[in-house]
Amino acid sequence: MPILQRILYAEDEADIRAVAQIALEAIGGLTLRACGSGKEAVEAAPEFMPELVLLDVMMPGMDGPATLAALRGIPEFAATPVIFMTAKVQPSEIAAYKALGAIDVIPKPFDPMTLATTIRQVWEKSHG
Amino acid sequence: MLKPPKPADEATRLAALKSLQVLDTPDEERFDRITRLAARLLDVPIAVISLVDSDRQWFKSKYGLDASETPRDVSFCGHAILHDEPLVVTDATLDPRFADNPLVAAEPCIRFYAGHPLEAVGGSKLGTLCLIDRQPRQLSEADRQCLHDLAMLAQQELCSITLQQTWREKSAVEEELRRSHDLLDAISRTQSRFIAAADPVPVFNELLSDFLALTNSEYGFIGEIFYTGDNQPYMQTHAITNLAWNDETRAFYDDNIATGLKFYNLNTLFGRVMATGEPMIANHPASHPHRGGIPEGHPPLNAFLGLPLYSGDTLVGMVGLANRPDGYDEKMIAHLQPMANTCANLIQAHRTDRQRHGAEESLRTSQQQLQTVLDNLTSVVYVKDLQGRTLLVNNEGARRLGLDRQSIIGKTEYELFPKEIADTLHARDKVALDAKAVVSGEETLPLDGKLHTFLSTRYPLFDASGNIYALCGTATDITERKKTEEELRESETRMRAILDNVLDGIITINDVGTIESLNPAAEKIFGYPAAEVTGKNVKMLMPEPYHSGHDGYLGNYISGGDAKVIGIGREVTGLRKDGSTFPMDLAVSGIQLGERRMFTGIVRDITERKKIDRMKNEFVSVVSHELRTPLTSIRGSLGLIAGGVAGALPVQAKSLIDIAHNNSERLVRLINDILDIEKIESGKMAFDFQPTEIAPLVEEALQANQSYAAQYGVGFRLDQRAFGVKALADRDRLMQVMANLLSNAAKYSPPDNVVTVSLSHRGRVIHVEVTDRGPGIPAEFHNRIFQKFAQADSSDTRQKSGTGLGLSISKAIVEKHGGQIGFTTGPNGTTFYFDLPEWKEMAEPAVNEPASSQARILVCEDDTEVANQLATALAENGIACDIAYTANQARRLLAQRRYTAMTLDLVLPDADGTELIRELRAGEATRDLPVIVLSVKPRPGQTELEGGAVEVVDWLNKPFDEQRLVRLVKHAMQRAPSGKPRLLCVEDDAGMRRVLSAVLQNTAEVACAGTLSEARRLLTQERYDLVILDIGLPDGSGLELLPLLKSRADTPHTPAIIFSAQEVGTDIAREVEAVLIKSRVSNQDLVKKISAVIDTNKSLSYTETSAVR
Repeated sequence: MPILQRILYAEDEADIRAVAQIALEAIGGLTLRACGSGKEAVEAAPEFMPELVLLDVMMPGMDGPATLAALRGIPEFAATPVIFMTAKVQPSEIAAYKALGAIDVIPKPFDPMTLATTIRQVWEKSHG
Repeated sequence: MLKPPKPADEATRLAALKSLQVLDTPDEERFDRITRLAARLLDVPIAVISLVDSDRQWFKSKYGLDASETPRDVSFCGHAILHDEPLVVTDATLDPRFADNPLVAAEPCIRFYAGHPLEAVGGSKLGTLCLIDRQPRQLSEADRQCLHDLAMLAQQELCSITLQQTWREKSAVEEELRRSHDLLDAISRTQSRFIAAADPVPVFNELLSDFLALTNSEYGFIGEIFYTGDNQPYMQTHAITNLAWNDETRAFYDDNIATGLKFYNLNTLFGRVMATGEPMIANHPASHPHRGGIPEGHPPLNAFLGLPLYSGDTLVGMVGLANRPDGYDEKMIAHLQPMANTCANLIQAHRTDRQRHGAEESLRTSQQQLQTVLDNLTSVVYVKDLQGRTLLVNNEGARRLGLDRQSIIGKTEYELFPKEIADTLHARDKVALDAKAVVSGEETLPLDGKLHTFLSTRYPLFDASGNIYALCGTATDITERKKTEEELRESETRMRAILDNVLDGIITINDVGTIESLNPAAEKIFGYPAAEVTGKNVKMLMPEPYHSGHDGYLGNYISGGDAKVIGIGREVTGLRKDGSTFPMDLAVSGIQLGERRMFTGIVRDITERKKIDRMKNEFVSVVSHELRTPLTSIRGSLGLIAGGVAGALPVQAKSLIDIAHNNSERLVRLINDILDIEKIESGKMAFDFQPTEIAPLVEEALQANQSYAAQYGVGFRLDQRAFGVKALADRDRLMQVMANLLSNAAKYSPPDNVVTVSLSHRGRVIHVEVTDRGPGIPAEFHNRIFQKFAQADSSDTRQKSGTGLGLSISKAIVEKHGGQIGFTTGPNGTTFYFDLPEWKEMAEPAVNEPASSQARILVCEDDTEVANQLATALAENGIACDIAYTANQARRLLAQRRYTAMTLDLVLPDADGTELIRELRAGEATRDLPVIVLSVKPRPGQTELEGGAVEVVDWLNKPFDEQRLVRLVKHAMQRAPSGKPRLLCVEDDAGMRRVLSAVLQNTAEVACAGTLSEARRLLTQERYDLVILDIGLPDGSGLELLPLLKSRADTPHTPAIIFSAQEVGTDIAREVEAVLIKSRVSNQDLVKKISAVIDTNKSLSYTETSAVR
């Protein structure tokens, strides 16, 4: 199983982006490319070559599902694992995101101390 | 006076008389006995045996007469010997032959004379046996017969004189005499017995013994002859020798002897007598052509004599005698004739008696019946004569007057009532008598101190010639009824006032749906004046699909008592006069008014409430999302600092950061709990029930909450566990309950203590306990503990840091599992526990045939008859099926083999059918199984579906399974024309629209509509190959689009996938292939539906099968 290192992250809320960045890089030891919109993430992807994509759902312009669809349109990312992060975590909503192809959904607010661990577990599960 | 002429054979006659040497001999008892008997039997003062000599008549025996002879010229008997028939003179004074006869004019003053000729052996008439009365009288037929019999006796006595000549002959004569004597004896005995006895049976028995003795017969019977409806004679015995020869015949004899044995067979020796009316002698019965009818075991019959018994010309009975050692002969018949005649007379008398008795009895019965009827009437009945005197009054009349019946009879109204009342009554009686007709009306009378209202009827009684002879009246007390009517009127007025002023609309309809009334509030709600809707069908107040379905609902309710809205409130859509629709609460109740069935609907416009509901939901959604977004940053930042990311903090700063961090965590929990509570209260919390083993779940819960407990220095210990026990549970929700109970226990335990957990299994209940060693729950808090925001000590929230919602949520979750939650508490600790019903696999069900690749249906139906009908109908169409009578059997069969589809009765003995559907949809193997619901409950939209106007491919639930959706869509597209299929997605949630578009973009060209009106516009403009339809749209129900999808001239119908937004609800229509209503669907329709489902799902299930294996 490949070791997870590179994560592409899209989140329009700068505060959350900052917290997540510390949580994943400083605590989790991962390499993060944090983007302020879905569009920016799609543009950054080919150059950054992420092993996993972490997407906020509700974003102005291109939202999480649209970003996912756009990434899937790029051949290199047709199968890259995607995790949604969202405050909308009704069971029906979670199911809908999974139906779109997300390997998991991480509810907001998240615990920054365990975020990296959680993502690694999901990664391992999806490769197991 | 006419002298008697000489008969033609006078010389021979006189010679025969002389040869008897009887003239001028002394009296002989053998003759005197006959005259005595004649006088007594026929009730005449004088009876004489007269012998007519050449110029005189000489009396051999005379009863009631002194003279021993009279001149022949004045004799009556001289006339009597001229004919074969007896001479009967009923009144001699009126007969020219005798009117001036000295015997008529002077002593013995003959008025009545009856003389029977007595013949010598050669036939010459020697004289008569004659009866004389001093009063005119008639000779009845029976009397005439009796006279004849006695005359024959006298004649025999006379003839016997001739035989005295020789010794041998003499002895024979003596024997004959003895027998005659016996015969006479028997006759007189019998007759006196009959006169004395009330019960004729012993008389007949004695008579039979006499017959047997006289003839030296072994056995016999006396029977009366009756005629059946088709005029066949049959016999009923009055006396019969008991011949029973075995148990059976003994029982027969014992059972029937009291009423008489009945014989119908005419082809027997005695049957011939009945049939022909002739005597029957059979001295060799064995060879007789009519020997039939002798059963096996019957004592031997060696000789038989059957004697018909005549009363006048009527055959009234017969005597049967058997086994005289010497056999029977004609002479015997002649000899027995008097006895036979007596017997016939007895039967006739018995008959007359019976008839008279019967008539009296029936008169008495009918009088009794009438009296009983009158006495049990609750109305007064009386009859008065024209003077007003009471002739008859019934018990009720007497009771009303407080008098006994006898003291009322004969009294007038003036003697029974005070004058003013009597005047009134009298006047009313007069009206009826004057009108000569029935007069009815109400009248008020003071009785026992109160005014009573009577409904009274009077009618005159007419005699045979049409004159009024009496007045009959009836009176019924209607005081109570009047009072009730009065009260009813008052209550109706009151009700009317309430109806007119109430804010809710109230509509009454009859059993076919016609509006009978509408109150002002309903007028306002629907915008119609009452006059415009009364008399019309209530459907006019409903939009589609309820409009079309309403007749069906009513029909179902009335025929099957199936209530859709009856007795329960329900949210429906109303249609105003201006065409706009609005949500309303409808509560309907059925009322039985005599023969009529009525329905009352209470209607409340809930547009406002719905608006508020929507606002609340939106608010909750905002709380959910908008609060969490900043909280994510706060909690994240605090978490990082507290976690030491920014390096070590000064002690004070660290403690402040911890406080801030803990409270941000608490805020998150609070938001989650509030959302949970909101979902529970709105019924939107989704449960994913699976058979779940509880022991591992409990262990996992302990582990997950270990670190939380550690904060309080508390440990968990699992004391008792039950392995392998399963419950139908939502794992995550149950974990939530465990977490709540464990965290509570940890929080309230003293430090360094242990919380014990136990899992046990009693009967069919799984019991989970969490026990702490805390201070216990204060008594005053016990009944609030499961309420929202309840905490024992509100000042202590910081220390205990709970939201106060946990137990309330836990209780709702446990109850959703069909379980119970509770607690016991004391100063040394508290135990919270919950019970869950155990889930068990059932024993192996019996499956008729081995599995094959053929389409196979599972019929899940508890009514064996319906199930068998269905199975038969399916078999006739080549579809195999298995039957499950319970939900558990269905689960087992589904686990064993694959079915193409299943039919499901929603009402099952061990589970609710809707639960079963939910289970099937959650199960890996059964989530795509087409289910056809056989329901007694009609569902909304059902008419559209049932009519087959629109093809519904499937129902999907949210959250949906992406693969299932794609598969369904692809499958539906297979039937679409080639080229890029066009799909219309009708969905109000923008996010969901995006999701669907993204999922389906490779499969089809997707167009979206967010509202009903938008969808309508698109559907009329464009053609689509498939429509995905959300039911809950902001401007109405998606089902309203179904009519638009119907086939038009140029296009086939458009298939639809129903895509429902409601997460949880009892309306299961969206989960199934179709809802068919039991009472309204024929077997053929059902089979057609099932076949269609099989066809459309075949490729689907087979691909899936191979994919799974």
